[in-house]
Amino acid sequence: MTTTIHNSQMIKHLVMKDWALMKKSIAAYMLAGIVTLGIMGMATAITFNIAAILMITLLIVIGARSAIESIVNEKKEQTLPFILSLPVTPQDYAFAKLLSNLVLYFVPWLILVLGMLVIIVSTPIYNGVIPLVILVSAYILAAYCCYLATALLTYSEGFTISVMIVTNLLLNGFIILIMRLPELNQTFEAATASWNATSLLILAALITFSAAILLLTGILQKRLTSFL
Amino acid sequence: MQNYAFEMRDVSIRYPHFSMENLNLSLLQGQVMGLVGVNGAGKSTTIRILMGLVKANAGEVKALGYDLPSQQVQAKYDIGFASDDMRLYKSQTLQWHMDFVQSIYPKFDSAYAKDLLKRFDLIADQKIKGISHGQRVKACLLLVLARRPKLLVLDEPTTGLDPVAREEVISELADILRDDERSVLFSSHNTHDIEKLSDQIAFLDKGKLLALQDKESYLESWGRFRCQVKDTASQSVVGAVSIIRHGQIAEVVTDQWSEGYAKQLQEAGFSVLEQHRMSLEEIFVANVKRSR
Repeated sequence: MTTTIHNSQMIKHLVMKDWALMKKSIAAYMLAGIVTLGIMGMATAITFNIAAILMITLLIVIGARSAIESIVNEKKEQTLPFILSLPVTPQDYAFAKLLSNLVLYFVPWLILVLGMLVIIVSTPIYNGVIPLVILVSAYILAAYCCYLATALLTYSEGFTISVMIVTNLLLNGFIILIMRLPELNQTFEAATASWNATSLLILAALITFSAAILLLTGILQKRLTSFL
Repeated sequence: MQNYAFEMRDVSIRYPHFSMENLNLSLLQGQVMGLVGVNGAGKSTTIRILMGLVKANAGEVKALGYDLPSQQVQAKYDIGFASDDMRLYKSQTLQWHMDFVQSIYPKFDSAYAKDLLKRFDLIADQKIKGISHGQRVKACLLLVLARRPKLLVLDEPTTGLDPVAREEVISELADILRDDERSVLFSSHNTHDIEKLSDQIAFLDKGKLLALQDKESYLESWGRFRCQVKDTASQSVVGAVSIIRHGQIAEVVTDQWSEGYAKQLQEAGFSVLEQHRMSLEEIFVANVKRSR
C-alpha cells in the first residue's frame, strides 16, 4: 500500500485515462437514465413499473460495461502490456482500476438512485417504496462489487460474465424475497418511507458485503505473481 | 567498476509446463543484447521478470541500479518496453496516446516523436483501429523511443512485420543504437535482426541459457567442415558439436573454430574438403539441437 500512496500521481493518470475512454458511454447511459426518470415521473403504476425495470437494467448494464470494458478488455485486447510498461506496479494498476471503476460506476449509480428518490418524493408515487428502491439498488451495487472483484482478480471474461449471470439471476430471487417479507411489503403503499429492523439489517448486510468484497480483492491482488 | 544496464542473478521460475532455473544474465550499459530462442524458450518470461510483470520464485533482478520488482516504478521511468503482443486503445488516435505518454514522462521528446511520425509514415490523428499491424508496431516503438529511455527492452519487435516495415524498424533501431549511453535488450527468433543489431548474443532454450557471448567472437568460434572420412577415422573429434555422416562424406560442426582445427580434423581421420563460417541462424539451430 505504501508504494500505491507514493505513486498517487500515476494512479491519477490511470483513472483519468479510464475516464477519457469511458466518458462518452457514461454520458449516453446518463441520458438514458434521465429518460427513464422522466417515465417514472409520469407517476402511474404502469410507468413506474416500466421505469423500474428499465432502471434496474440500466444500473446492471453500466456496471457490466464498466467492468468488462475497462478491466477484462484491457487484457483481452492486449492494452495491458502497454499500461504495465508505464511507471506503475501491477498493484498500482489494480488499485487505479478499483478506484476508477468505483467512481465511474458509483457516481452514475448515486445520481440515478438519488434521481429516483427525488421523483418518488416529488410525485404522487407512494413514498413507501423508497426502502424497496434503495434495497434493490444496494443489491445491484453489491453484485457489481462481486463482478468487479472477479474481473480484477482473474481478468477473465468467462469468469466475470459467469458472476454477472449468477448475481443477476439472484436479483430476481432477492426482489421476490423482500416483496414477500411482511415487515416490508405492508409499508409499500404507505405515504411515507418506513424503515424497520429487517430492512435496515438487509441494507447493512449489503453494504458490509460490498465493502468486504472490495477489501478482500485488495488483499488477494497483492498475492498475484503474474499480471499478463 | 562496471555499470550494468541490468543484472539477473540465479533467477528461477516454475510453471506447470515450463521452468527456468538459476538464470544469470547481465548487460553492460551501452551494449545491445539479442536474446535468441525458439517459441517457448523463455525469452518473454525473462523479459517479463525484468519488467516486474512476473515475479520470479527465486533470484535477484536489478535494472539501472534499481531492485526489481520492488523499485520498478523508479526503474520504468528510464526503461522503454514494447512487445509484439502490445496493443494500443483502438478507439483513440496515436496523438491521444502520445499526449497520454507525454503527461507521464517529463523527458518525452515531442520533436523526436514528430520526426518518428514522418520516418515511420504514421498519421497522428488516425484512430488505432484503422491502422495496420506494421503501423501499430511502429506506433508502439514511437511511444517508447520518444521517452528517451536509458534501457530499451523489446520483446519480438519485428514479429509479423512485412519486409519493408521490418527494415524501417531495424534501421531506426540501428540509428538509436549509435547512442552509446543507451542499452538495449531485444528478443527475437529472427536471427538476421539479432545479427544486424547486437553486440552480445544470449541463446535460450527450454528456460536454460545455452550461450552468452559477444557477437563477433561467438560467430568466429563456429564453423562447418565438409570432410572425406578415412576408414581409420575416429567416431568423435574434440570440439565437434555434431558429426553427420553420409557414407564417406561427413559434415562436422564445431564451436571451437581456429586456423588449426582443420589440422586437428585431419589427424582424426577427416580430410577437409571445404570449410565454411556459419550464420547466426545455423549456429542457433546447431546449438539447440546439441542441447536437446
